[in-house]
Amino acid sequence: MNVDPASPLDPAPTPDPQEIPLATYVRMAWVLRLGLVVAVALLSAAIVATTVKFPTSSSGYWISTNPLVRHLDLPQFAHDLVTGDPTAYLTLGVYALIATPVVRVISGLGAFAHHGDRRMTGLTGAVLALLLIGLLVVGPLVR
Amino acid sequence: MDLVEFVILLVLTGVLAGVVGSLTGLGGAVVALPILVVAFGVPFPEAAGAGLLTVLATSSTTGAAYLRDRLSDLRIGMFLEIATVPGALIGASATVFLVHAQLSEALLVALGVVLLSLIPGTIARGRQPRTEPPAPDAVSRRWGLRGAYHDEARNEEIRYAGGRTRPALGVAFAAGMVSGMFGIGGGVFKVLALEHYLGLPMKVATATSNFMIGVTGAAGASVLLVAGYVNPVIGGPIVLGTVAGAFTGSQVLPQLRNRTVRWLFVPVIAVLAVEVILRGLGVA
Repeated sequence: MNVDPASPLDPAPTPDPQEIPLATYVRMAWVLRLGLVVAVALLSAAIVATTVKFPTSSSGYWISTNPLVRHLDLPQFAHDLVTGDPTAYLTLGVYALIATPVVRVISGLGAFAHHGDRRMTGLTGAVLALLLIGLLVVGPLVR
Repeated sequence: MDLVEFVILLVLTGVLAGVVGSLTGLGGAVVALPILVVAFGVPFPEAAGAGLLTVLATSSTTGAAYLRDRLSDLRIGMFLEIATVPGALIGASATVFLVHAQLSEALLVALGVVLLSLIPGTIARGRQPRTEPPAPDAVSRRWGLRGAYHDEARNEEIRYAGGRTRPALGVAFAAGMVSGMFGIGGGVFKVLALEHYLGLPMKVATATSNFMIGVTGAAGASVLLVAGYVNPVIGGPIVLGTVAGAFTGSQVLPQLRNRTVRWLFVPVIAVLAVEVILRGLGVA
């Protein structure tokens, strides 16, 4: 498709939207890469450590027992991290994976606000608010 | 089986899901989910939680390249996320409610039906006649839903503008619901919103869909996580396998004919989907 802003396709053209700087794209791509690397490193190390610590445990046990439930309690999670519980590091890897797109949204919000792009700042802020509502309100509500 | 065998088999499942998901364009979760349910006997909500983790991993793997090439349209992607994120939150909440109401079997039947519904679009992908893009509507003009990208093959800058924003938002909301409810990326539906309704070029639609999938997946995963349905011992190995598989798939993709690959693997996914339905009906 080749749409000229002044073509009949757009009978009442508005000014072109503010161009999103290349640096914003690069920063978001960098956040994705870093988040994935951190998550994969944590998950790899923790899976190896978990299999070393519980070599004879059955798959049925792990299907019916979710160690992450215990780590939803933040003091317990911190304690297990400090004591070197490998399942706590598995949970940390999962948190890193889920947090990556959220951090990408936050980095975008910062970049748009910095460049004074009000429309994108508003949109990105709304998406971030929805994500936080999901985590802090909807999740605990339906739990 | 013991934990070591379990982890190895989960990683191999992830590799298969990553390769087949990237070669068919269906995404890793569509392959991993039915295998987890049928072969490993993982309950539906935990399988959906693992599925969303693979969605997040594949989105981060490929999303970085699309962003670097400026193929993902941030403005349009963020605009549609206003619809996909609430959809994912409602979909994931519905899953939790249905599981609490002892209706996991109904979810399995619905998952099988959703998987089967993805197949015709996958087979026909790229063969539909290109229709005239819609004219930008008032919402599109107000939010500046237009952009441009450099097409390497044609060596020219392609400009585009989004139209039919209301139906596109509706489809995006439904895509988010499907993603949150069943633990899949729902990329097929997001591309439908972006390409068919907004009228974006296919490359931009695919890249923007990938951009959106990560945020939608995070929304659904956060609800399932707090509800206790994201099990890292199941999801972790699947994620590692999927990342390796998706990377391998992207390397071998240029050497394979897409149509051949689809005809090879799509029947396998169809059989798995039927197995999931039968399991939901208590037949298998």
